[in-house]
Amino acid sequence: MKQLRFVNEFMYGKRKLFSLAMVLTVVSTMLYFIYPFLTRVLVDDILVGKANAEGEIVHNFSLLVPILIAIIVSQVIKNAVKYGVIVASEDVSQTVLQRMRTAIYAHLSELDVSFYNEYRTGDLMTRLTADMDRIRHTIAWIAYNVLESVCLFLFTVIYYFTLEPKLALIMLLITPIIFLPAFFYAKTAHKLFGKVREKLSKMNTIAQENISGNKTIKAFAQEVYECEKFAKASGEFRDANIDASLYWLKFWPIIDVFSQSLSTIAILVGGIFIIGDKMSFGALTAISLLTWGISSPIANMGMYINDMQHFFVSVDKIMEVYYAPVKITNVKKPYKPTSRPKGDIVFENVSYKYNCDKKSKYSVENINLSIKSGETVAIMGATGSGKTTVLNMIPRLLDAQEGRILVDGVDVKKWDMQELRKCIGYATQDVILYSNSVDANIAYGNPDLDEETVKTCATLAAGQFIEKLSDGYETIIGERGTGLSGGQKQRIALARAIAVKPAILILDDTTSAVDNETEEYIQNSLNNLPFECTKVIVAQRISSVQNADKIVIMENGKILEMGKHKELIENKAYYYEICKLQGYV
Amino acid sequence: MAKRNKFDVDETLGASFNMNMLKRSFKYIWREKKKFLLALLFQMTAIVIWLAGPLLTSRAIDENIPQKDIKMLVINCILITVTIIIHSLLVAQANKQINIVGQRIIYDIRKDLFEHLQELSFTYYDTRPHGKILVRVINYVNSVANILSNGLLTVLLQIFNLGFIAMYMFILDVKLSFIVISGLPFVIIWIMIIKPIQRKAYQKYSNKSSNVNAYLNESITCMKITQLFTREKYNEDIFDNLIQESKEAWFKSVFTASTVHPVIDSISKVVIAILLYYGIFMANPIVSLGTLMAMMQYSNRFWNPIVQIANLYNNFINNMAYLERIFETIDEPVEVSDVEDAKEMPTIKGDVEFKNVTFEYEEGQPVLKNVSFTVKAGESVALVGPTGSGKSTIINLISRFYNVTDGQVLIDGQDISKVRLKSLRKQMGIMMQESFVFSDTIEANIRYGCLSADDEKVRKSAELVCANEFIEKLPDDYDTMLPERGSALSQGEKQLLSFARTVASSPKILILDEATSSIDTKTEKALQTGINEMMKGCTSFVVAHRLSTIRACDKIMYIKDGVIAECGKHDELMAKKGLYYNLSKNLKA
Repeated sequence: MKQLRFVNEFMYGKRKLFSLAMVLTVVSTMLYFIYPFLTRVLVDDILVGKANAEGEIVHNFSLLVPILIAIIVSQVIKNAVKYGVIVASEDVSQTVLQRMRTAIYAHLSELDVSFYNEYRTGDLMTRLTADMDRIRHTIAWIAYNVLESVCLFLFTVIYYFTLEPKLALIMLLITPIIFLPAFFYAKTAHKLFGKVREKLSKMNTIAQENISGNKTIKAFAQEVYECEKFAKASGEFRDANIDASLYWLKFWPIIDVFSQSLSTIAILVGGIFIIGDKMSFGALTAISLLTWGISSPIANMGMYINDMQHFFVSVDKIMEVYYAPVKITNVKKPYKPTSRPKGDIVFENVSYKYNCDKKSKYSVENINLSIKSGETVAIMGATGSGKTTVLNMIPRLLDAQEGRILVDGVDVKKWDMQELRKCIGYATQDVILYSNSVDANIAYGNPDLDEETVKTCATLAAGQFIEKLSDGYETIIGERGTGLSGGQKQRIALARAIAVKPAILILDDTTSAVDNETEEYIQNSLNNLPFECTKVIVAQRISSVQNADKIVIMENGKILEMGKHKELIENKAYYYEICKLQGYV
Repeated sequence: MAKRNKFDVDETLGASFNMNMLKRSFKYIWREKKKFLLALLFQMTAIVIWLAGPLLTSRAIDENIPQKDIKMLVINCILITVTIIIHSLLVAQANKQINIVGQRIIYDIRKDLFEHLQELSFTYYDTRPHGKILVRVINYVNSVANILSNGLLTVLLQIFNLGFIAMYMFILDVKLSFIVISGLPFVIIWIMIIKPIQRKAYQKYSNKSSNVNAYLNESITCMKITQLFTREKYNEDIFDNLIQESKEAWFKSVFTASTVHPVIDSISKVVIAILLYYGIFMANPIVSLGTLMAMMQYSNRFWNPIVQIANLYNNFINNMAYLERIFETIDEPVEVSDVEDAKEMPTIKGDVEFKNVTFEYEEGQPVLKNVSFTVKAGESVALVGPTGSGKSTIINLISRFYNVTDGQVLIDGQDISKVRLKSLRKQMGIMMQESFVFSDTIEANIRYGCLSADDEKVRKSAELVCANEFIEKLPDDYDTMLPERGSALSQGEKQLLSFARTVASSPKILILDEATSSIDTKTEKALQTGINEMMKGCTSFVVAHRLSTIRACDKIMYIKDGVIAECGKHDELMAKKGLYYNLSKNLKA
């Protein structure tokens, strides 16, 4: 039931229309009944004839044409009404679909790294496409069909009672026999549907990774292995589907036989009644024409129950994402700076753990660091020492469990997140670009940026190479920036970070794939940015860090040493060793 | 760069409805012909048996009841029930068969599509959003297979059904039967009118829907950047636009398609009215009640298949769009593949030769111009030069990720375009700039380099490249499950993991493309020992920016503007005081 409530939330403003559609469904069903009703009159009064006062059989032919016209008109109107129902249902379902998608999309934007680590893209895609569509289908199609079936059944039964109660009663007695298997099926088939969905998601994930990792797969010549992997998942999906459909076929024959035989019972019992002069032929005609009004709704019930099962599973999946907790969010009255932020950063005894259980170790521990506005601070250290983790805490991609981080004297948790991130330009280690043009990528943080500024930032970071591309700035980059070399990607990412004119510029190893000549050029640009900016840099080359105001060495999540280039050399510790290795000592 | 497709570019295909496509689809049905025909047989028998029902009914009503013959009435009713039971059992069997057929067809099409995707070049994947590829493999195939199995069967059955009903009807009463059939031309006219509208509308919808999927996919995988650059609202607006377009296209399609049923039903009721009019008024003698009732039953049974066929036709038109896309992907030309009489590449010794190699990604824009060089087995070659000069291209050609435009690449004197790709690449260890890691355990990732590697080999590979240090710090060490794209690891750790994977594959030719760029200097020094070990046993090509790496190589090639500008040992080139000399001044590490 909570699933229905959830979907109902999205129907605001359309509930009247939906109710109208439901009402019209009832109307159209009633209109339909005019047909058998008139047919009965036709049979009784015209075909068979009624005895008049003198005992003669009179055929009332004058009624024929009006009846036929009434049949045509009522049914055409019924069809028009039905069309209206369909149109209305489609409108409501599409609206709900649109709203749900928008809401989920917006919610996804609020979720943090820990969510995306837990949920695979393939699985999320399944939820946002297949599951959403299931919900849409239920509103657009199942809703009115179920109502129609119920109405049909009720009206038929009522009508039967008006014609011949005993017969109606006998037929009603059969119906539980038809309902029972359907309900039993509904209860037990749930598991099978869950399995089908699970296999679909798994298949989705494997295909997703296969497409993303196509280069690696070719490099290791593992195409055959991949095909086997996929064939297994695809096979399991197939088998789960077959199991689900075969299970249904165990129940269907019972349901079908009993619903079909209603008609036969009508003829048998009705015939006996007619022979005993207890019922008219017209009544029998009407009843025979309408047995499907009892049998077909019941037979369809199984399918509807099937569909509803799918529906509930799908809504559950959507709800899971919709209600996923937002862990990193604004406080009640977040701090918003009134002027351009200065860019002071202070780490006060900051510690962070990836995993919250007691067993796991801290990724960074007891970090104390003070960065003044306009300074350049470099962080170095072995792979996995926690450098990126420290950087990620500044724009609140991660929240420290202990300690706090202050920007301009205010705890980042108290900052308005959007304002905080707006004043930070971040170039990540793992460069992510969009399948869009180069200039759209550079202007990503500020889509309204004018062309001039885009080009300036681009030149600062990237030199001339963009202009040399096939379509220059309009060149479209492939998904995730494929098609460009590593160095080219890094430089575009750098341009993107600079383009927002940040008060704090964070560069995570952004020149690792760039040749030395270009790196010097970039260093130069960074030293001459047309705006005030605190720079926090992670790098491995001494050339990138030696002129920093402060160099921080990290190891195993802790700060090992800190100071200027000359000081650290005198320390004769980690930094000194690196300098030796790189030929600076 | 080739022409690119992004999330808001529709992929409209030029060709219209294609008989050829249908023939190809039939190929998949043909594989399951036994089960399909069995299903068909069961269904047909079921129909024939069922159709006896109305006949028996008419007898009950026309004879038994007026004659007050209860015994015969009961017998007829029992007979009718028997036909119902047999009908039901046959249909259940038929459905069982056809469901299996449908699922197998899905499996087959999906398999062909997936296998073909493995052969497509980097360019194919680079020039379109991955979400659009994914949706074909998963969603489109599901939709199409349903039509090809269930849909096709239903069409055949209903045509059969129609034929039988028509036969029974004509046996009953010729004139009345003509009346029932008379509505058909009007139905056909209506369908002919809406068909082109319907097809176009649905094609548009499937394009828009595909765009939505592509955008969703990318949004999810790039969420970090969206959040960092506070693009949430802007992206939401783009998304809203896309789904709005999708919705509008859908409406156009569905409002057209939904007219079919009401129109057909209305026509059928008009036909019944005429039937009744004629039967009662015009016929001489007046048609019997039993005949009339049977005729009405048949009439309902006649129009029902028509509705079904019309709906299926709609469905079919819609799925045409999907079929087109699927076949388009399957037909995508494979640029790099085994030639017909490709041989197995024998165990590589390691002599590599480029003979007058020219290469263009796009016509008229050569990236490599007439490049020739020889490298002896066991030699290590450093490739240096400005970005975009062709270094990565040379590497791509050695592993035959692309075919040369002109010239030859020879390994041990063997033209590599004439050997089996798998036998070639399995003997190479290629580390690309981006380290892709699978969402699997660390162990499985390392083992990806050599599926038959035992645990010891996996660990040794990790130790050789100093990856074991960080692995052993993880909660489940080698059994740690990595999330998608290895996002729990740092870039450097991912590179080390990739390295371990490459080591596990025991390559004869080693190719490192900026392989240590994200690894810190200290680890790299330790790693260097491991790399040197590896390089001893094989020919290696290294693209690097670090002096220590470059110096250690036997040969250095300076690539500029697609040609080898300088080539030689470190000391030789330094003495020349040319391009390399200038470069090395900037190389400190």
